[in-house]
Amino acid sequence: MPQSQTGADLIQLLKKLSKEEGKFFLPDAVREEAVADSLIDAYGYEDVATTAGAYVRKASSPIMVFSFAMDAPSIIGKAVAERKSRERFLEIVEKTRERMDKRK
Amino acid sequence: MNYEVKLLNAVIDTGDYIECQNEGVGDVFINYQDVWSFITSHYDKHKKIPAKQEVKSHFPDFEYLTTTEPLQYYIDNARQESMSANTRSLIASTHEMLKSGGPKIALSYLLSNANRLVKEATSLKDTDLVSEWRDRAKDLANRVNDSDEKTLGIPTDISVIDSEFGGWMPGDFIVLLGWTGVGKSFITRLFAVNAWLAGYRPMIISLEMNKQQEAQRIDTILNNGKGFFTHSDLVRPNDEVVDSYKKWAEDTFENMHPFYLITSEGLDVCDQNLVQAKIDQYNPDLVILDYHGLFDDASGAKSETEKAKNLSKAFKRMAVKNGVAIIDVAAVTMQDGHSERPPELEEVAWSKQLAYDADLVLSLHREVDSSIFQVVSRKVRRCAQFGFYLNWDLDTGEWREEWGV
Repeated sequence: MPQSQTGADLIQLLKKLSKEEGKFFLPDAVREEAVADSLIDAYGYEDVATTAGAYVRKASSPIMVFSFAMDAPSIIGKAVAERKSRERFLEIVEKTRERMDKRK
Repeated sequence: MNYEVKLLNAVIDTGDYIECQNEGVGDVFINYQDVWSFITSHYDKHKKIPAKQEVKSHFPDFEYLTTTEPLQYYIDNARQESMSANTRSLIASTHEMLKSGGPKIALSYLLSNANRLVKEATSLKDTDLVSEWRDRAKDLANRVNDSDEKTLGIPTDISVIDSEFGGWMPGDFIVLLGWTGVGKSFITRLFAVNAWLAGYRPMIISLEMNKQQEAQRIDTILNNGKGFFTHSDLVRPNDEVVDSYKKWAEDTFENMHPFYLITSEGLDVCDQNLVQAKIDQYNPDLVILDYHGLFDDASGAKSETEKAKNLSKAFKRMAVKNGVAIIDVAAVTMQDGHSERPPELEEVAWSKQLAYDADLVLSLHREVDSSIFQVVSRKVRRCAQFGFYLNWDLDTGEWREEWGV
């Protein structure tokens, strides 16, 4: 994702995902853009956007940027750990292959 | 003459207290425990065995004689006699229990106490590594020169495990982790089948599946895609494969060594004592326990965590004591469904003890309906972490190792 993604893009994404999942997006014009910008500053757009899909799918209350921001850190932490675990698996397989090739 | 008297005289005559300690002879004394205690405390204070006159001054009724054989002879005799006395006592108590409590209580008492007796009779194996370096050098040279000896343990036929980990060695405790339904049981049966094909005796204790289901899986893995039948042909009987199955089974099993399968049909309790009893009964080379959470704990755990912990420690000790490799299938904690990757070490269910005790924790994953198994070590005691893929058609049984998907 380009680095220029902003809080406004995240809000648009949440609206789109809510519509796709048939869930109600609750606007909060006074603070939502600042909250979304801050989230992207803290975690980067890519991880926040990946997490947004899971959040919207699971949410049972109206979708709000503020609510998402409250839940996002733990969901992002889990997503990052998952990604790292998958990367580590690939790394271990590659190193094993190199060792096995050397023994041939 | 009482074996205790002879042994005590031999100890005094030879003055070899160290040998007695190495052999752990303290357990054989029953009637003369006080004389043995006197000798040990004398040695602790003065660094020598007391002279006969000194012992006589403390125990005037003790019978003194001159011993003619080496100390080891008296130790072996004492052990044999002590074991016989304890066995007679156990049989007598079990007989009483059979009359008062019935066969189930009597059998449970017999199993747990018999295991204790065997444990007491087996002394710890002490080794002086310094004096044995020549043996190790010779062993290494033999293994390098003999290609059959390069894999130290039971081969898995999976080149990564055999080459990196050295196969399953006596005393190994291996824990297999995986989310539900990814094929943990299948892969352990592959290990058992390949051990059997290499001439070893596997023993599977399966508390999840019945005998027929297990046999169908094992037959399919043994068939290994050779085309005689598929797993589906066995599950939903296909009349077209009856003859080819019979021919294949005859060629595969006739005059071969055993492949033991213990299923839970008819078993009220399956705990560590039963596992030990089955090891004693069949003397297998490789034991597969499927799965950890379904075993009962004979030591009376009050929670699932305590049970998992007790069983883990018991299985590890059992592997070392019996010189057998044990593979234990374990569950993983799942919150909000499971991840699409092999589980990490901290995700093992109920008890971290499994991870502490294991010589190898093997983690497994397979996406739904995929034939690709991702296999990775999460803890390994004797080599670097390793990982690989298995491409495995579970219906035909054909499998091969791969490096990428």
